[in-house]
Amino acid sequence: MKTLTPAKAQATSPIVKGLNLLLADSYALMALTHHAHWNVEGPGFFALHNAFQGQYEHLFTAIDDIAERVRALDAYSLGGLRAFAQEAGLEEFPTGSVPARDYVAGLIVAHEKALVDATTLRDAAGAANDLETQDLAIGRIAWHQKTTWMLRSYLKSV
Amino acid sequence: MCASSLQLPLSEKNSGSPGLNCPLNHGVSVLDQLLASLVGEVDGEAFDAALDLRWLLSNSSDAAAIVLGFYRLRSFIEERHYLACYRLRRWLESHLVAWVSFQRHQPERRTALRLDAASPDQLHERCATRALEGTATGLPVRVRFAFATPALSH
Repeated sequence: MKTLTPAKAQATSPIVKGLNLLLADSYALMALTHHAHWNVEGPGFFALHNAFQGQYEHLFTAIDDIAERVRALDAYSLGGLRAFAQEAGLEEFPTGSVPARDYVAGLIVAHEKALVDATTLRDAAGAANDLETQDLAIGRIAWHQKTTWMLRSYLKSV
Repeated sequence: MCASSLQLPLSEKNSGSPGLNCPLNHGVSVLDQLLASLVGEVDGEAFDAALDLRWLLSNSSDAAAIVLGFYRLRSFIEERHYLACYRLRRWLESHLVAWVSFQRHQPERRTALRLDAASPDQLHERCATRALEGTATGLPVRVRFAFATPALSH
């Protein structure tokens, strides 16, 4: 019979798995948002360029909080671009000219993925009575919901 | 696109969990959501086009008809339902490919579909250009659409 170390035992828990998945989603989304910030063009340039900057800066802070929550649970956080991309499974934007609305739509899709995974994490944390993780997940859900609303509003036609 | 939707046949209605967990959803599921939102709008042509495409995705193995159905629907709804169009476009791009040939005895060249082309004609041109990598052959080019993997066709 194998005895797991606390860190290894934690790594298999739904909460740590959920945190690492949300970490991957958030890191991948940050990279997508950065891509959109650099390459967006057209009449909405200034509004979108600035909005995307605010969003990736927010995500940069958020991923640190998520990763440190994993460490606080005595587990190890996921790391590395390949691992994040593989875990998140998000589609990247093509290189080259992309319509501004495609950037917005693609980011909405990525936020929706993060929302689904944050909701799963919230429920797992609630079931385990881990209120600190649940609080973190609720905060992430609220922010992704708000950002999705803003991005959806941009796509609305007159 | 998440892996779950890639493994679904086009005809499989997304009533279970895969679509709920997948950010882009399944093509038929996106159309169902779109149809629900179109009910409140007075646009019979858009509704019919969405229904037609839904039928094609569920029953047809004619990839060219699916592409044309998508373009017809897009012409009606893109301005008002950009996100639904985007989801459909990206989903179809991951399930369909183009095969390009310019000489009868030469093997066809496979190329990815980019359904952001303005029209089916422009889509043909772009597929040909991409497949031939800019080589001007001076010969008539034939472009046909097909499912990306045989398992996805009917």
